[in-house]
Amino acid sequence: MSNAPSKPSVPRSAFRQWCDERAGVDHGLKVLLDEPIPGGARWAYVFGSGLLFLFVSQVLTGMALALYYVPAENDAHVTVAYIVKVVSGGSFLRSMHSYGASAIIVVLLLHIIQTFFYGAYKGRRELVWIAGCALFALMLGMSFTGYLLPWDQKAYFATAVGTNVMDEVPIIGNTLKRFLRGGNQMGTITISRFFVLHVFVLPTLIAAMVLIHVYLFRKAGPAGPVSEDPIHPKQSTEFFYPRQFSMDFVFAAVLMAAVAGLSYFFPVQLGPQANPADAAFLPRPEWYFLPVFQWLKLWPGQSALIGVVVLPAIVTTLFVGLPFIDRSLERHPLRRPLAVGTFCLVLGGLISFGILSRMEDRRDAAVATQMARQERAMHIFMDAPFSPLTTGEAARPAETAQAAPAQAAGTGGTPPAGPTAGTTVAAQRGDSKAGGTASNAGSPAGGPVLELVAQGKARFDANKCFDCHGHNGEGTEDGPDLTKTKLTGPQIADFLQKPSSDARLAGMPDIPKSSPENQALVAYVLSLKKAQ
Amino acid sequence: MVSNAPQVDSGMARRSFFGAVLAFGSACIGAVFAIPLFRVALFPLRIVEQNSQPVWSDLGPVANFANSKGPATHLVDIERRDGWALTTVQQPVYIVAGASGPPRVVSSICPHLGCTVQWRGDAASVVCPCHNGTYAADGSRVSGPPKRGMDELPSKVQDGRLYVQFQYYRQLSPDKEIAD
Repeated sequence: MSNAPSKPSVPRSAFRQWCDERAGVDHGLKVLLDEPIPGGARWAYVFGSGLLFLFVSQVLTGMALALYYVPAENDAHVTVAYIVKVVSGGSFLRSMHSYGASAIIVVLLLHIIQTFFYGAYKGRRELVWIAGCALFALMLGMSFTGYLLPWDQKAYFATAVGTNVMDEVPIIGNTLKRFLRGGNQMGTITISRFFVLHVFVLPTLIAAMVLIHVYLFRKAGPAGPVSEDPIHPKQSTEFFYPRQFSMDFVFAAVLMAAVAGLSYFFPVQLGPQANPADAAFLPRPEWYFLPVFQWLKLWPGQSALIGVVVLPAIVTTLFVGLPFIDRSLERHPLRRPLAVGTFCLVLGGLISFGILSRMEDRRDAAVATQMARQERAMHIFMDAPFSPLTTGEAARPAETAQAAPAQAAGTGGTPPAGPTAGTTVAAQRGDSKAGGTASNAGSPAGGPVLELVAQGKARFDANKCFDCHGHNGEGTEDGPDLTKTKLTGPQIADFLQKPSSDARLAGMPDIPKSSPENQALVAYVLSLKKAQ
Repeated sequence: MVSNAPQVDSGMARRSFFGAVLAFGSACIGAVFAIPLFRVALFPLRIVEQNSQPVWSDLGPVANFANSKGPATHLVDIERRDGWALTTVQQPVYIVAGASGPPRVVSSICPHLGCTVQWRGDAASVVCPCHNGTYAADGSRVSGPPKRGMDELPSKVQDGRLYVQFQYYRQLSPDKEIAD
């Protein structure tokens, strides 16, 4: 037997002893679990652990999403659609990630409210509070950057608004916006930057800040109930383990059940791909940004500087500086009327603004109709089968596709052919010129036609034909099913040039037969017909 | 400081019950994560690639290959459903003149570990640049680590033109098996 100190009364397994002698596991656990809490365990203290649990959940689900997600303009939306529609378990996992983000905001607010009303920022806890504020800001940054990544309509427009608002900041605002977007307009570089922030930069900072926050918290010690002296606690203490640990554990289980339950029964939807040309789209941010969204409506013209920059800066400074401003050791909320009053005013204001925003949208008939349309477009997109992105040779124009084999053989990028091979390839090159797309002979509808169909699909989306004809031409109550059209190619071209008066009233544009758009749309509609 | 020093007898029982509840709860939470995470991560293993329908690629008039001294090379376009993308990749094939009958088409993918093999005119043999697997001009195995000769692809002659159906075969096995 070993001669380790025989302090534990519980028998330990040989393995545990082996580990402990090398890694100090027991000591580590003791430091983690035997944290004395003045006044004992309480349900009010569960929110911090809940946030840690949700953060870990976000990391796990995020890693799984990153297995498929590609941060580029052409791929972002189709890869999310692939996750949601094709990958087994993908929709559930993405919903967990999305609801998890909302849950973090909710629990974060509860954590702040608890800390505030308990006066738990008092008594040499300024740094704990400031680290917490940094975590709050980083989490909002995670929400903001993550929201863009699916690159659907609402993501695009919400982020367009969210980044444009930076222009209000004097001097550096515009530079900041262009830095964040990676240019003047949003595009593939914007997605890449938001992805890097969301996946590498912010999570690393959050992990580091969590360590700092928890370290500082443990250094200061739990503040205990409001009746406790925050610097020299006098009440009897109880260790974190087992009661507080159990409460935290139960809370984590409740959070898990809520997030998983919502994800299972109400999976998060994905809208159609971002279409900057859609002038009718009404962007609305995620619920927790609605108060800010509503606030921005109040500041017309020049006054925006006050509303968007000055006032938020003052509120933020007051919030971060709270432990420096409210320095008395009095913790009871009723005996801190100024601090508590201001806090309630700001919180109540935010909640009212959020509700007001929803109510305004509901009252305005035009807005309500458009919102319903957007909702319908989202459902139509979700119901449509997954349609893959066409890339590589298949998407290339005919000339390039033909040139490729010759070029490859010429540069020796492929097996350096013997002398005979060289001549054979040359012969084939001549042959393919004569016979059209020789390399595509196996699939007669190859390169050029697919290219035209893709162009047609792009025009179909840009003209918002899907509003009436559905996202895959399947038709809606406002427009006929294109997949079942009896018209021939030339007839479709005629109809596009001169739509019926009904169609024109419904918003169908005139597209002259001379324009390349007409040809592309005809190819697209015919491809829908063939696909059936 | 008051710590809850457990009484040894009832404390032990309570502790093991508490431990069991904790373990059960952790297992449930773990499962809610693990099941979707594994399903998502393992998804590519479960889908069968939709490349099943045979596509015949045109290699040109069969007369082109009648009198060549060594294998001729040609790139074949392969349309494939690659995750969320519908894409076309190219694979080189070698066309070997048959002593009698139509030319044979062999894959340029080495059956050892999948490098693209090269025709060496001076040595009149096909050599893999990775591990020196060597094949004769007709694709049969000569020496080195490969366990079989180069893989012949299904081909046909129709209206005087040579067509090939590209296939991937499993690496390392002594017999030619289609990779799924």
